[in-house]
Amino acid sequence: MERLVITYEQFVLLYFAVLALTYAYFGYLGVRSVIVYSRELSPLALGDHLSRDVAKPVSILVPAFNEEASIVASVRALLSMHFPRYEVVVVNDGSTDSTLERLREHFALIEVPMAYRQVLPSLDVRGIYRSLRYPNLVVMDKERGGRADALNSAINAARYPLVCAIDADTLLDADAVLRASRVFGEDETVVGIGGTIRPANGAVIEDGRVASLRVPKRWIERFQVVEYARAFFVGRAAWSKLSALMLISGAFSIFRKDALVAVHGYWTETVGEDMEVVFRLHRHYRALGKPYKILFTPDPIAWTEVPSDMRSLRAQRNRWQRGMVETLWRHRGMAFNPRFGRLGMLGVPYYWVFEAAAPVVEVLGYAALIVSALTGVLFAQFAALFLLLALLYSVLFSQFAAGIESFLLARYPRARDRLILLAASFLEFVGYRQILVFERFIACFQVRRKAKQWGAMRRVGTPEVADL
Amino acid sequence: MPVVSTVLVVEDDPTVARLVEMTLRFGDLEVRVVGTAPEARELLTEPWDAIVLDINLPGTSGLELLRQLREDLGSTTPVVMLSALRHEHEVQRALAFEATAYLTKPFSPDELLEAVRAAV
Amino acid sequence: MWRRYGDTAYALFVLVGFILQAAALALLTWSFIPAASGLFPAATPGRALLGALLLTTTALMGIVGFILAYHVIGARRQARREADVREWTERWTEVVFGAEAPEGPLPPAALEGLLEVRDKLRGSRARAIDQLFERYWRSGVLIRPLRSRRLLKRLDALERLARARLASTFFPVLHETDKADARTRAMAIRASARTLALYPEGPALDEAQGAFAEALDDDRISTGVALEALMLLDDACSGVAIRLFDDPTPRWLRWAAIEAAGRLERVDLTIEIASLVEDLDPEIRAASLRALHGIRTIPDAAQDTVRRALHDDVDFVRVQATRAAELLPFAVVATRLWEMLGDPSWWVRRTAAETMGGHGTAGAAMLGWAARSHPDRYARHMAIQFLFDDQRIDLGTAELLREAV
Repeated sequence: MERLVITYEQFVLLYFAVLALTYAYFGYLGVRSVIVYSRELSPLALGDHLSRDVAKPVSILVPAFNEEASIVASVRALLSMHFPRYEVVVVNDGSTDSTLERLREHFALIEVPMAYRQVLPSLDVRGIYRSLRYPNLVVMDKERGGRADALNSAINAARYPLVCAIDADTLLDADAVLRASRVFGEDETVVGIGGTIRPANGAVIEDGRVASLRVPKRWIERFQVVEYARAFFVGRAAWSKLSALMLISGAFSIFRKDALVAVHGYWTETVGEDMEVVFRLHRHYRALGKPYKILFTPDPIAWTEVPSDMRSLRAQRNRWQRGMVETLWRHRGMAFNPRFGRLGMLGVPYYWVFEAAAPVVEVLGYAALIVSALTGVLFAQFAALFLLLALLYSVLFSQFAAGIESFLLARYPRARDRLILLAASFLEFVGYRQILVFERFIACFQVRRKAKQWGAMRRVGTPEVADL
Repeated sequence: MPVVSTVLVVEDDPTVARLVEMTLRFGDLEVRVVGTAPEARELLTEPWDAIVLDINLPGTSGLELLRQLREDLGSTTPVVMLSALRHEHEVQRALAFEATAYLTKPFSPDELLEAVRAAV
Repeated sequence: MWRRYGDTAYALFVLVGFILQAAALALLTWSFIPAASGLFPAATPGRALLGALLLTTTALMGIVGFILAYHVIGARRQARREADVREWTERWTEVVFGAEAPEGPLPPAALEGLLEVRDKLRGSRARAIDQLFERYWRSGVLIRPLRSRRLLKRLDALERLARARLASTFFPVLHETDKADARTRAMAIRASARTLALYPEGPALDEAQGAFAEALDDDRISTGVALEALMLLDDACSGVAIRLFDDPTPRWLRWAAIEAAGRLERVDLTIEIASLVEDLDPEIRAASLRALHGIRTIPDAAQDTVRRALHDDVDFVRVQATRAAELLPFAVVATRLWEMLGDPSWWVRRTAAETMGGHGTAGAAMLGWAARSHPDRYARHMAIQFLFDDQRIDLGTAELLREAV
């Protein structure tokens, strides 16, 4: 028994050491890609791209459910982007509050009979509205069908070759769309792009844009600032460089419209529709055999309000974990499948082992530690050192990301804020992390029971994976 | 005694602002430079002989300022727009708001001076 | 967006961190194996653990130390560098307007300052800056880094050359468009285009334009990059585009050349573009019609050609032809536009309505008549829809008309 526990502890340590090593490698890849990218996309290049009006036009898709408080401000900010040709398609997904009324009032909406091809299946659209004042604003009103369904109906109505799906409360940097669209113009094989998402909490916001960065007041929000930096600057940058990017956040993602249509749009049966569609895109284009790219580009930046209380945060992480497991399970045929190249041989297994299974490993690790401490099997010293090493790994990961963040012009300027974030990377490990790991652990067992629990309500039609 | 014409320049890029200022001074014009829309708004009510206005201001766009000048204040002060953009529809919008001239960046100091002199 | 100093140093620190982590992992693995086979008490893993701790702490301190130093020292140095450049920019501005030029040799901040001013100006004073470059720095200073082995140095050099736009640097930069690295190619093409845009008149100009056109004819370049490059040429676009209109040039590049000519309103190319309206390739036909519309000129000799294009088999060509028909006398196109209101393609119908709407009172009258009595139902609806969208009738009238028909 003794040996079993100790062996398990050793295994956990090894698990985290391998993870730490991969993370350090990711950190390295992340830095290298940013270094070259920053030269390639200089202010000069961006200015030229904008001034010559060669940017591919974009349809910005905004699914909205019960967003009466912020929808007007969000849409107004979206209508003033630094981008020559684009439209904003807001989908009122059966809101029960006054979202639609507010939009109607502030933007002088009138109903129009609009004909468009229903290429993707979606629930019924009750009406389409255009604004008398802003010719590039379209509002669709439909029955509640969930985010994926709302996006599918928006894609049907979108008129431009690129679509940018965001959340209703996402704040985009004025040139975020320009930066992303430019990549598509530069390289015709690019099919989808994800940008960086950063927490807007605590920042000073003017006219719907983040004007200056301040560290948020609550520790729970501060921990998330650290987490997001890790996930994006280190995690995604590396996978993108390895041509195995598996996740593009729904809060800010840009795809070629024809690509989304080719894979039959978003899957409405999952809570992780953003990850799932990326998997399907990979499968589709691999099957075609033509070169394609799905990229993470660090500098189109979008800001989002992250949960500031534990309950909402736990619900969110629970949902993310379930979404990931649903997607991985649906595409389980990709694991260790050489047909899918690095994605199948490295990316998908990594996600199974180090993302999906991680909460399980970690929770059992804590359990084993407690058991062995209680039964006196382990020397207290060993246990303490063990935990200390785990803590240091965690802090190291965060600092890799903090390093990259330092290169941004828009970084936390005040020394006090940076020291708080440094402290946060330590304190994260003392309680916050454990609570969320436990939540994710529980989520793994709730995948079936809580299927589609976050709003998606009716079945519309599932794109068959077998056909891909 | 010849009256010296005064020109308001609204431009956020310091290099360009300085170049514009020197161009106009070289042409014997009095110049006042501001770098942001709020500052410009405060000065819009004064009797300028001409205004040189950049479209890409941080925050409010120069076109919005032009609109405010023409519609809210009812002013007919000649306005020379300066812009890095050459989009057809931006030009149309500027002309719709009765901009007197539309110059693109990089700008030619001779052209600018000519445009402003003609406007004044 | 990004600060461009200290990043390679950081990459080095991260690499070291990676190596330390690898060592820690090796240590732990070495202790794991005996543990699995049950050969020990807690001692060896404990020591391995301590070792791993030490290595990780070192890596951590390295990274944190770097970050702190970066923020403090880096920011200060950068501020000082920027202040220097600003001073030089101010100085050069004065020189451009007649102040006395300083004595050489000059520090690197002076070069940055001059580039800054160069970027903002066009015209005779801009040419004065060319002379300043030649006086203090032979173009060699800007070109030499192109031969560096490090990608970053080459990219930085290309950016500087893009800002400098010195005619003497044109060919060395153009040479870079043939490199294997896609980023280098794209940056070099843009830098060459910017340089060519300010190239002085003379026999050398012809050669330069020819070389540029040839460089664009490369499958590895995306249409977007080619179009942007052509757009960056400004007035020099005509000399390059005209070489790309005709057949041996691949279709995507012909398209880009025509598109650029249209957007840049190259009036001197209307005749050549008009001749492409009858090209075999529908994309080319459509692009040339669009360009003519953009230039707002249809040469007299080409009026018939455009009129014939209204009957083209391909719908998107018809759309562009209809748009261009705005520039033809109404009497010439009226009948055809009336027919096109009932065209099978929605876009053609829409454009026909718009073009009619753009033909003043005669067009508006025809639209009103179409709304009431056009034989084709879709044509009537389109006319009504357009009149409503264009705010020539209100919602009530539109509904009445719709019901009546």
